[in-house]
Amino acid sequence: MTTRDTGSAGPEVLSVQDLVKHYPVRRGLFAAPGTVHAVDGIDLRLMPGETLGLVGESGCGKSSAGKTILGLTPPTSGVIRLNGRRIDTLSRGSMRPLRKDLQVVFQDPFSSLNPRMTVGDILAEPLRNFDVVPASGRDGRIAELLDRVGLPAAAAGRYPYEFSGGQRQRIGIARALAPEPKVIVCDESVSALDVSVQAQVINLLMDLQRDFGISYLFIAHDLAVVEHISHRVAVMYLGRIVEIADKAALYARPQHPYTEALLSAVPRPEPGRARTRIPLKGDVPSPLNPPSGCRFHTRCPLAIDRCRTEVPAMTKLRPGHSVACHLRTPD
Amino acid sequence: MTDTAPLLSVRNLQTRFRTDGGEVHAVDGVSFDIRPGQTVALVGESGCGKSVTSLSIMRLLPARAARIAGGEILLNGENLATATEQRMRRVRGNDISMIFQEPMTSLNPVLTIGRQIAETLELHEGLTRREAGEKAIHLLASVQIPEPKRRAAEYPHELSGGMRQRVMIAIAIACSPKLLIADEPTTALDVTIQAQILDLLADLKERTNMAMLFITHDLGVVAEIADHVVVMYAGRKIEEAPVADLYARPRHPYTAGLFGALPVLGSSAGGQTDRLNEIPGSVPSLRSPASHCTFAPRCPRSTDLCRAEVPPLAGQGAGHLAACFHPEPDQKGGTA
Repeated sequence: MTTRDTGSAGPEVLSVQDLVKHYPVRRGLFAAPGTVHAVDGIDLRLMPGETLGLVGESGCGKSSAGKTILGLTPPTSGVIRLNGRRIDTLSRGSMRPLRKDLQVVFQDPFSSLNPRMTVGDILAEPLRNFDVVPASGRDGRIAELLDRVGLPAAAAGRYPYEFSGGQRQRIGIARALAPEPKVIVCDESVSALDVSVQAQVINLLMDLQRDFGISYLFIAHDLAVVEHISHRVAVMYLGRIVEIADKAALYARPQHPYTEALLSAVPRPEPGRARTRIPLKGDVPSPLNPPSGCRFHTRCPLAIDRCRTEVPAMTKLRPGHSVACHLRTPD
Repeated sequence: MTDTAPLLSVRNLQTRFRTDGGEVHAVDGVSFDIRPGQTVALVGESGCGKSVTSLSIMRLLPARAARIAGGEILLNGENLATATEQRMRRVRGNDISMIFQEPMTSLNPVLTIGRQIAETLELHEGLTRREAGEKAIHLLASVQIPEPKRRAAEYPHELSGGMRQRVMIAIAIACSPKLLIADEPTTALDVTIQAQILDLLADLKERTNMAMLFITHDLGVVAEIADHVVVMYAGRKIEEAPVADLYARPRHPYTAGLFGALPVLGSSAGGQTDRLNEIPGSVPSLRSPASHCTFAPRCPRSTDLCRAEVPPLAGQGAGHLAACFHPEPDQKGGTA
C-alpha cells in the first residue's frame, strides 16, 4: 500500500495511518447493499507510557477503530504499526507472538471471562501462550498479578461469577497485564461500573501505567473520565477524528464546534451553575450515508457553504493541537 | 415551597423480595416527600433500592417475587400501598406516570407511535379515536418532535433513541399527571441528546407545575434537574437535602465519598490531576435487616458505635438530614 511498510517509523509504540473500516450491509430483502462507514481515515500515534483518549458518541466509530487496531476485524485499508512493525497485513499465525504486546480490557468483564475457568486458569492461559514465565513459576506469577490488581491470592481458585463487577474488571485487567504488554486498548473499560468502584479501577490503571510504562488507548464516551486518565484526547464524529490535542488544551480551549458542543452538554455536578449549552439540532446522521464535506455540517451552528462540499483537512493550529474545521486556522 | 402540603409522601417504606436464600430487604424504611412542582432526585449506586422504591410507588413490582411489607405511600393522603389493583389502574397514567431508561422495550413495536399515544387518551380521557389522534399529534409537537404529523404515522424502530424517549414522555404526560417518575431516563442516551431531554423535562415542569421523582446515579444530572436530593445506600435513605446544600456540604461520609470519587470535567485546568478518592470494598448484601450502619465496613470515619447500632437520621440544617454518628465536618464553618 505504501512504501514505508518495513522498519521503524518513529518512537511511537502504536501508530495508525489513514485507517478505514467499512462494513457492507443489506438494508432489506430488495434494497441495494450499502456500506457503513464506521471508520473513515483516521491517524493516531501512541507514545510509550502515554494514554490517548478516544471519545465520541454512539456510532462515531471509536469501538470499531479499537477492534480494527486489535486485529479483531480486518481493516478495509490503512496501516497499523506496533513497535514500528506493520501488523495489519500479518496472518493470524504471524500476529500471534506480537499479540503479547497488544492487549485489551473490554467493557463487560462478565461476558469476556470464561465462566467455566477458574481465575487461576484464566490468568495461566496468557502466561502459557506467550511463554512469559516457565511452568514452575506460573502459580507465583498468578499470585503476583492478583496482588498487583488488588485481589487476594485465594481468588485464583474461584470462578468469575463469585466476584462483583469491579472485581471482575480487576481480573480482566490482570489477564491483560499477564503477558507484560506495551499497549492495552481499554474499550469502555470503566463505563459499566458504579462511581465508587469506577474510581478504584481508574486509579489502578493509572498506577499500573506509572509502574510499568504501559500505553493505553482509552476508548470511552464519558468526557470527564477521559480527561482524568488521558494525556492526549482525540474526538471522533461519524468515522473521522475532528480534533486531537493535549487534554488541558482540548478541555480548556476546544476548537472544533463539535467538541465545544459536546463539552457544553456534559451535566456538571454544580447546582445552580449557569448553563451555557451549545444546543445541537437533531440526531447524528447515519453512517450508512454520511453527509458530504464536513460530516458535522448538518448540525453545526457555524457551518458555511464550503463545509457542505469540501472535506476539511486536519490542520495543526499549534504544537500538540490539531483540528479539522474550515473555520479554524493556525495562530 | 416547603410549606405546601406534599403531593406524595412516602413513609417508612419496606419492600422485600423473596429469594431462595431468604427475604432481601431491598427498601428498608425509606421516607420522603414530593411537593407539587418539585423535582426530587433519588440517587445511589446499583442495588441501593432506588428503582425498587419507584416501582413500589407505582405498584409495578412482580407480585410473586416482591411485596410491600410495611409503610405508607400517600398520594394526596390516599395510601397507595394498600389500594386495590383496580384503583391503581386509574392512578397510573392519570395521577402518576413513569418513563424508563430504555424506551424501545416500553413501546409496542407493531403500533404507530401516534396510535400508542392515542390509545392512552381514549382509555384514560374517554376521547374519540379522531380526537385522540389529533391530540396525539399535538403532544408530539409539545415534546418538540419535528414534523409531528408525519412522525405520528411511524413505528418505534424508525425513530432514534432520543426521539423514542420523547415519545415516551409524550405518552407519560398525555393525561396531565401530577407526578412523573423518571427512572434513569437519559442514561442510555448520548450526552448531546441527554441535554435535549433534560431541557425538555425542565421546560415541561415549568409549563405544567408537574412534580417529578427523578431516579439516577449521575450526580451531574442531579445538579441540573433536582430541587431536593435523597441519597440511598443498601436500601436505606442515608442523607437528604436541598440540592445546593447537599453539594456544598455533604454530611454523610458515603455522599462525601461519592463526590470525591467522581472525575469532574475541567480537572486538567490546574495542570495536576488529583487522584480520585476510592470508597474501598463494595456494596453489602441485603439479606438481613440492618443491625448497624451498613456503610461502616467501607467508612473511614466508622467506630465501634457504627458497628453496633443503626444511626438515626439527624438534622444537619434546614431540610438536611443524615444518618450518621460521625458526620463530615461542615466545611463552610456553620454548625448543624
